[in-house]
Amino acid sequence: MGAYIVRRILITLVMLLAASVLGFGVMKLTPGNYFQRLLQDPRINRTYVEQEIAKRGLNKPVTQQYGLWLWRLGHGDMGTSFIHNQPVAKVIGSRLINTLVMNLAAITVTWVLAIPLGIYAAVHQYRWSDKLLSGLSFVGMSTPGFFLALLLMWIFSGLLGLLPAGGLTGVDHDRLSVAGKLADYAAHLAIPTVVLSVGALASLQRITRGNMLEVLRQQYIVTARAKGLSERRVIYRHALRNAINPLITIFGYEFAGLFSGAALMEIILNYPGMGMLMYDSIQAKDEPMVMAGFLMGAMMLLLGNLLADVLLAVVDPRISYR
Amino acid sequence: MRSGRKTLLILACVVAVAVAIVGCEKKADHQPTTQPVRPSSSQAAATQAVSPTGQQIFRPRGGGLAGIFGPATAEGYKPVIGRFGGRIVLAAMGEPKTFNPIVANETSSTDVAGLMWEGLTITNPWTTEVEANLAISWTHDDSGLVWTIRLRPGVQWSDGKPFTADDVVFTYQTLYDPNISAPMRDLLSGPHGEKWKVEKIDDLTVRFTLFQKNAIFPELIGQAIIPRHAFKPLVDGGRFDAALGTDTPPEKFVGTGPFLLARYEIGNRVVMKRNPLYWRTNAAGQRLPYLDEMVFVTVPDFNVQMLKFQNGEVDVLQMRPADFPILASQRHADFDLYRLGPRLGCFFLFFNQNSGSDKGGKPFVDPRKLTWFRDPRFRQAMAYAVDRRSIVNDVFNGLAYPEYAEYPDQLHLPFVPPDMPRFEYNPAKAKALLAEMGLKDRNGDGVLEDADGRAVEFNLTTNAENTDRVKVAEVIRKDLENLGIRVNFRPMAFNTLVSKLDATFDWEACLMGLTTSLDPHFGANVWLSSGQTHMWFPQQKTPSTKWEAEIDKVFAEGIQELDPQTRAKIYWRYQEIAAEEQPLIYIVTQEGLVAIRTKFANVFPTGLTAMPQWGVLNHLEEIYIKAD
Repeated sequence: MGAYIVRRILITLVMLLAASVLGFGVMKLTPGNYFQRLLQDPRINRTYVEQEIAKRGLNKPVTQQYGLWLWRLGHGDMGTSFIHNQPVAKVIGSRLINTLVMNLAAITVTWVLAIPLGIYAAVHQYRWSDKLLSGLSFVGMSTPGFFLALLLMWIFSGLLGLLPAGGLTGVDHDRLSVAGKLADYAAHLAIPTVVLSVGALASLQRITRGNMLEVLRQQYIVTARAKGLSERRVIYRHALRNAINPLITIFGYEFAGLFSGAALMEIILNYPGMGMLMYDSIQAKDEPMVMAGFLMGAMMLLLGNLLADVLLAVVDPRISYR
Repeated sequence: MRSGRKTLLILACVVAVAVAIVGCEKKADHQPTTQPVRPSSSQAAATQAVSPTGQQIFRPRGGGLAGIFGPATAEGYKPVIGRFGGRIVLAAMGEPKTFNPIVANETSSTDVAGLMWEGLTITNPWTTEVEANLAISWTHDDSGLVWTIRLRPGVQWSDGKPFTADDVVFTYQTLYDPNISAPMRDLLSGPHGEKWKVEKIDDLTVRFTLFQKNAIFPELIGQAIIPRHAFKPLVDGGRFDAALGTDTPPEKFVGTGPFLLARYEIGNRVVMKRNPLYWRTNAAGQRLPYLDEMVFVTVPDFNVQMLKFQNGEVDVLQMRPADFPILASQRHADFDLYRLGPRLGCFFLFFNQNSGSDKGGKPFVDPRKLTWFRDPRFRQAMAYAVDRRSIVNDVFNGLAYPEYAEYPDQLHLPFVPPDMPRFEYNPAKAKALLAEMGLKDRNGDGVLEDADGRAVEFNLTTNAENTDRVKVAEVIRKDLENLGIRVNFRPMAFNTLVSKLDATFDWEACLMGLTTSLDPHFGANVWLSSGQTHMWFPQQKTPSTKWEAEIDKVFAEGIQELDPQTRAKIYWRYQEIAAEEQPLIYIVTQEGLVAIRTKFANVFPTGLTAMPQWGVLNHLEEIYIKAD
């Protein structure tokens, strides 16, 4: 197992390198650069723009630019953001925690609700409760997140005035007590959490239900029931353990998404997370920023996969790696 | 290893999504900077309001509905003594990227920096006359090259140190420092890198020696002044570009302005606090500003800005035309609405007149089309063909103004000649002009053909993320199609468009917008044939037409004429040429629409701003919160 993990990590590094070439290439293929767009302001002159371009080496051949970027990355320097004029690591660092909090909240809510609901629906297949859950799932899966966000904001802040309309904290946040601060965070996190979990919850609930149903049809379940085991034991001890395997793979992907934001939602809810940052950076062609975000996303994805594979081996004794 | 292949597949998807995102952009446009040079002219501009308070009341308050007001006037500006304390909360589309007033190159940053650092002069928001700020007088000698500036005595930096001539000298040294990324440097430099000489005469006197006469010198010294004692170590250490960034501790910000940075919560809000040492006082001699705090909340979506305003979370809202009727009909309104007249900045249509060719010798523009585009009759026909009134009504809810020239008539600016020709909607005249050029429907299919029987068609583009521009372009396309011209409308991403306009030149017709400045010289980059925003044919080595050469001459002459009346007349000629030649076909200007809570007093708005939100916050230091 240890050797397997080391091998996988080495492969991950090679893949990251390939991904960075791809990302860098795609970015260079799109026209224009960050400084060129400043030229559309009649008050900004060409000499200024050319100076800025030269300062950052954007006029050099692409291969040379990539080489320089890679060399710096190897020395732990992700470059300086064009927009923010600050080290990329610093800018990303300021947003990462917000994204992490939002995603953790959403993932917790999703998993805590989806799995029991999925099991419940499977056990009560074709009863009205199952049908209701199915119906809700379809609504949940088909509602676009940005629409739901606007709708919830319109209801809870526009009409009822119960929740703040987006943001991370209220204007008076600094004057609040610790409990007040927590309540303030919670109030601001409510809508993003609900919006992010609704879609995920709906599909995860359906997957759990499907897996459960499949397992419940297996002969060993019939055997277990025939042995006279309690229904509780049958479901939680025997069925669930086998139904959960595919969910672990999904969990791996969710891990990958921990640091990646939901751009559209963050813009609507003006939540200062990675999504908004990356969106603005891509728009403005802030190259060092885009590359850092892209590489981070790829890395998380690869690590998430590795984590899922390892977890799978831990949970399921039938799986082993050599 | 089974997940290896899967991962690759997912990576490919990630790349695809990244490409898709690169291809699309946010609605809001990149707002070019408007700091620090301020609009100017020598005569009164805002003339809409006439009532004793200086505010024309469109509809009185009553029945709990919002009052709707016009802009104030210079005569109406009479602030009363107010109460200290309280806070104002604004919504900002973008967040500041830096607080450095020398390095900042876009409005989210300059708006905030502009509160902390002030210039020697300031422009009157109604008359656009240059007024005293950190300087109390500026006079030139007979040659017009040497200006002597007297500084305001008794001004203190926020750390208590006195403001002196050393700070002014230091500011200009920094601006001219080639190691510092100062976007405004070029505006203060000659074509061959000539610089102004800035010398200290005594603590409160500075002498500027110019390399050539400059009529807008008083406006240009509106450039924010920075403290030598606090910032010199940063410049000397080569750290100035990155200094005063968004991670700088607030106590490092030493300014003379009414507000100073208290905290910056990245991605969330900027909190400014009152500068207790600000030099302006009220009639009772108390130091302003009245407000304790000013908060900018980052809200990048217009719908959410509106929700936050309705929810009471922000105090000022820059409305979209669609928001106006909703707020105007809201019962129990605790806010007033302002219609501030035409904004500075309008939409215009223009054609590629670039006669050059690329490295392979291929012309940028199809030569057949180029002859149309370079023919003034064609451009005049296009100007006649656009039904601007229906654009105002259909796209902007009636809250916009049809535009026929660079400067709206309502402003009555001195450098706009009387009786400018204007091309009002007249499809018959448009048809006649095109027929004169030999473009007419030869086979009765409703489409115009040229002498060789080929259909008249061209591509029209604009930046896709600006939905207003896309809608306006759609109406234009329809109008031109009624005339028998085939228009292929293809909006594209801002970056793509900019690189076409600026580097590859492979475009035919385009709809764009620019912020207008109130002094024509600030538009020099647009009008000079060598200018880079000379949109229709940028960066010409020698003017490609007689009329472009003539405009070049007007601008060269205008900047050196120090007498305002004579100078204004010089610019008449370029306005007339622009009207005759229609290189930029002006279409529409949006109305400035702002809502502000009634609890704020001493609100004296102006329409003479590109950002109406700042139009209601004139003389921010005087604004206070009324007692309940």
